[in-house]
This record gives sequence, C-alpha cells and structure tokens, in this order.
Amino acid sequence: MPAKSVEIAAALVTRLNEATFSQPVQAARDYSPARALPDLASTQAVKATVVMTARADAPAGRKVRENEYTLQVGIQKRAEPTDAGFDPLVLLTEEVADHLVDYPALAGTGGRVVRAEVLAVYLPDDADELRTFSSVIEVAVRVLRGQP
Amino acid sequence: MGDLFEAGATWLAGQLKQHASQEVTYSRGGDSVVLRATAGPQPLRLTGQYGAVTVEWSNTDWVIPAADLVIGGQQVTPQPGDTIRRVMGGVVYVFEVLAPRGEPVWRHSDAHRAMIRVHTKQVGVE
Repeated sequence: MPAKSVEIAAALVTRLNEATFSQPVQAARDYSPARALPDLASTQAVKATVVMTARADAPAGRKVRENEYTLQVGIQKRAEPTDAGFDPLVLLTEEVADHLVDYPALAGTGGRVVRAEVLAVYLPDDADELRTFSSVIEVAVRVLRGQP
Repeated sequence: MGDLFEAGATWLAGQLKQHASQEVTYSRGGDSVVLRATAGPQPLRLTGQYGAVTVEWSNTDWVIPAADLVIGGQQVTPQPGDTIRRVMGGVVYVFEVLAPRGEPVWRHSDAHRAMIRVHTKQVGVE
C-alpha cells in the first residue's frame, strides 16, 4: 500500500489529466522534476508537474486526527513573454487552481482539497532567460483519520 | 606599418574557421545561411526557485566570422529568436539565440570585430 502522500499526488495527476482546460495539459508526478528545455516546446502540451512537499498532523477531536498534505503543481511551457504568449498560460494556471478547489474530493484517497494558492503567477527569471512560462500552485489536501 | 594584432586576429579567425568549426545553418524567420561556426562548451544548468518548475538547460556559445552572417543579402548581427541548427550523428540539434540573464545575445569576440560570439540554448532536436 503506497503512502498517503503518494496516493494524493497520483490522484492529483489523474485529476489534471482527465480535466478539460482551455489548452491540453500533460501531468506527471516526479521526485526529481527537472524538465529539459526541449521538452517544454511551444508545440507540445503544457507540462504540469506534481511534487509532494509536506505533511502536517494535528488532533481534530477526541478520536480523530487531521493530516494536511501540501503539494506543488508546476505549470510550464515555452512561450514568448508577451501578452499573446503568456496571458493564455496565466489563464490556464487560474483554471487549474479553480478546478482543484471546485472539485475538492480526490477519489480513492479520502482527501479533500482545502486550498489552492498560486505562489507564482509566472517566474520572471524563466521568462527572461529561457522564454519559458513557469507558474506554481500550492495545493493543500486534508484527510481525517481515526486515532487508535 | 600595418597593425600586427589585427593581422593576427584575421589569421586566427581563418584558422578557427578552417580547422576548428562545424557547418551549421543560421536562420531568421524564413531566411537562412549555411556557415561554419565554432561551438564552445555546453555547461548544464538548472533553475531552482521552486522544485515543481525546475528546468534543465545548457548554454552554447558559437563563434562565427562576422562577415559570414549574411541573411537576405545583408550582413546582420544576431537577434533573439534566431536559430542555429547543427547535425550530429544524423540528428539535427536546434539552438535558439537566447541571452544569459542581463546580457546581450551577442558580442564581438576580438578587438578587431572579425568574430562574434553568439549566446544560444538548445531548445529541440529534429
């Protein structure tokens, strides 16, 4: 049985790959997420990378504990850093964040998305030096579990 | 008496082109020119502010005789978005003219402006 963190990351990947956004998204989870620049070509689908970052544990009642899992979703594609190039990708980032909050239940995990925060609308360094759009969404997923 | 250093730079440019260069195709939009260029080392780099959006890429600098960069009948200087294609082992590697952060995309490579150094990053294979 995989760790709950892994289950949640996998469920997020499935959710992103099954959803319909304003442009195609290809999601994957990764422990060592380094995308090669050629893989982010403007002719390919937008890459979404799901990375597990943290887990918190707190009592939520006499016999209930609350686990909050934090993950990051990176959105990337090569594009010119202009209104025409980046605006559609900023829109996509908002669509992904909204989608995760609008449909919070993550099937098969017992978890619910309680927060999706866009940490970086775009990274100026990537825009300037790599002509690449990179945005980051931090997602918090809460799971309640019984206490022995 | 002529400038020995200028003569030396010209000689060196010729030697570099003749003995230490590869044939590449330099393109801008729909126009291109086949010329000989010398590639520098290709150090691998990683961005790293957030783990989820790490990008792996390599810089490649090309040294080109300034007089050979002729597109559409005119001698030009590199611009962002221009591409250089080099065939290695039957694979075409595509490099895009992109500057390191805060730097111009090209500069003269010698005091006499015989050679130019163009900054690129590999962006694809064909």
